Amino acid sequence: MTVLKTQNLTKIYGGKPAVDDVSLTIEKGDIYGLIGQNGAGKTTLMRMITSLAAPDNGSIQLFGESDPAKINAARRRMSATIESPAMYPGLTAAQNLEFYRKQRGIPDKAVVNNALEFVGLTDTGNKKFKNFSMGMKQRLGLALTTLSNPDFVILDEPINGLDPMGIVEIRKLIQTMSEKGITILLSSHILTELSLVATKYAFLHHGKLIKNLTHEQLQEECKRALSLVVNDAQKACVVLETTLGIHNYKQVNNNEIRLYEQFDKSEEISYQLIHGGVRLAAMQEVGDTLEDYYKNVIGGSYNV
Amino acid sequence: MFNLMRADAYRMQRGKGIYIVLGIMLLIAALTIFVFRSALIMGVQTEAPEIVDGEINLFVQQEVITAADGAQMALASMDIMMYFILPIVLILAMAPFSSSAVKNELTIGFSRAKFYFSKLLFACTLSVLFMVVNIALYILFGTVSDGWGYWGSGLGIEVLQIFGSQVLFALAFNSIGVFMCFVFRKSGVAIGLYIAFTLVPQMVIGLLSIAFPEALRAMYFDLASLFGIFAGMPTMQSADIIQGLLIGLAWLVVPTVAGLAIFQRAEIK
Repeated sequence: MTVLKTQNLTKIYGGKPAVDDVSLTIEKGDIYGLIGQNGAGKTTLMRMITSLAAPDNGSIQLFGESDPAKINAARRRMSATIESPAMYPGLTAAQNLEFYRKQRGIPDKAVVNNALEFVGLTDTGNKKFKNFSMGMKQRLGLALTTLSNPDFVILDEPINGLDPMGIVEIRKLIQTMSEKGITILLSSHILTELSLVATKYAFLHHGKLIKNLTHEQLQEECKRALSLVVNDAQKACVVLETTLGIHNYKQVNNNEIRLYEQFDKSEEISYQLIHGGVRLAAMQEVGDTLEDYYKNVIGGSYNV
Repeated sequence: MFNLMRADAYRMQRGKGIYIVLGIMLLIAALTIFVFRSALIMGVQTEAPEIVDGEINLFVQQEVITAADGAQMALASMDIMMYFILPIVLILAMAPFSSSAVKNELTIGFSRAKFYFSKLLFACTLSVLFMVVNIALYILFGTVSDGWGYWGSGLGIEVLQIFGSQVLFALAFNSIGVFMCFVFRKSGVAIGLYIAFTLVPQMVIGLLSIAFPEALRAMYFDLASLFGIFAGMPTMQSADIIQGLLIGLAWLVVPTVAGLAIFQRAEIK
């Protein structure tokens, strides 16, 4: 089931597109990660989805609804924290959630305590929101997003400003939300962090969606491998399987094979290939760290 | 919309703002009544006030201040409500913007029109309630001072008529306050413009009237002046009453329509 679909979504500020022709689809159960530098258009895209900003072009379909009146009703099934979590500074965590419980017309008073328990904020007592640490604010923001039992949650930079322990806690909470069946759209400019929770990714750069891939595809593209450039890839495959017992490999084209095992046996591999009548032109280790991959995706346009 | 207002009521109860406003209101009512009363007793001022044409007239022979006098004094000084309306509007309509909590409220499907009207309606309700409290305080302190007084000759009806017209002006001030909060979304700007709106027209008209006495007629277009003018409603011409009420209505409707239209298209930061 499609939760969110954007078609050619565009937002222009001062004559320059902040979001440029972005089309993406989020399916039920996805943890969809928006990755991009600061100013790439992640927040603007989220602001359009949540109705805080109107698109200059394109359309949004939410839970199958694209009519403006119906889409607003569909937004009742979602919850969002855009930019930093914002609450009433003079109220405590429980009071803030109680305010939103009343506002959203949730009859069950227990949801406040359940949400606070979920994020581990039951012991904050009379401490007001304005005195909360950034980690506590982020957790309360997550508590608010779960308050009305939404089907779809949008989290903008949920680990921003957190220490490593805080990041781990927020990550666990996001995973728990996903396990409860909530579809999540979250943004970050740190791919390594996003890759620990996301199931799909969209790379945004200068407002454009430049790459869209699943977690498996990302893993595949970042996988470390031993690249063999040979004159006859098919013949080489036979040698690898029969002589060396290597099965975890991928034939990229007629001249290149990538091995994903036995990196430490490069001498033996070259010997056996040559012995088997295969000419070996080059052999090197390839593959990206997530940071390298991210830089490569952004690529030459990094400094544009 | 009821849920939005119910939540705002909950939030207001937990803040200090509304209690401070009520405290100041009580203090002003008590001071107004008892300072005049003390002046009478001390012989510094031998005349008690009376309301004539919306002004407190100090030159009337009277030795006591009763509930009836208190009610008239409350109506004559009701323009102070425009300053009590400001904190109500700020707590209700500005707080979501200054705390950015508005994002939580608009992202989950509340229509902007509902959001706008919920703030306006609740601010108006509270303002009318505060006006009732204000007049009740004057009557209470008047009663404590010198008893119930003389309410004959239709004074009660007059008080209700004047109060009714002043309610319209108070609602219009709410409309202007909410407009400024939703359009400018910055506390400093909204407060500055609101206070300027309450003071500047009167000052300009006052200055102009020195050279052109007929400029005083422009007071009918100034919402702040209308409070005082309508305190003398029983002596006003019907045409002036109708004109004043229509102008009050315009000040209620126009900022609401304009504010909503601007907010519908606004980007929320």
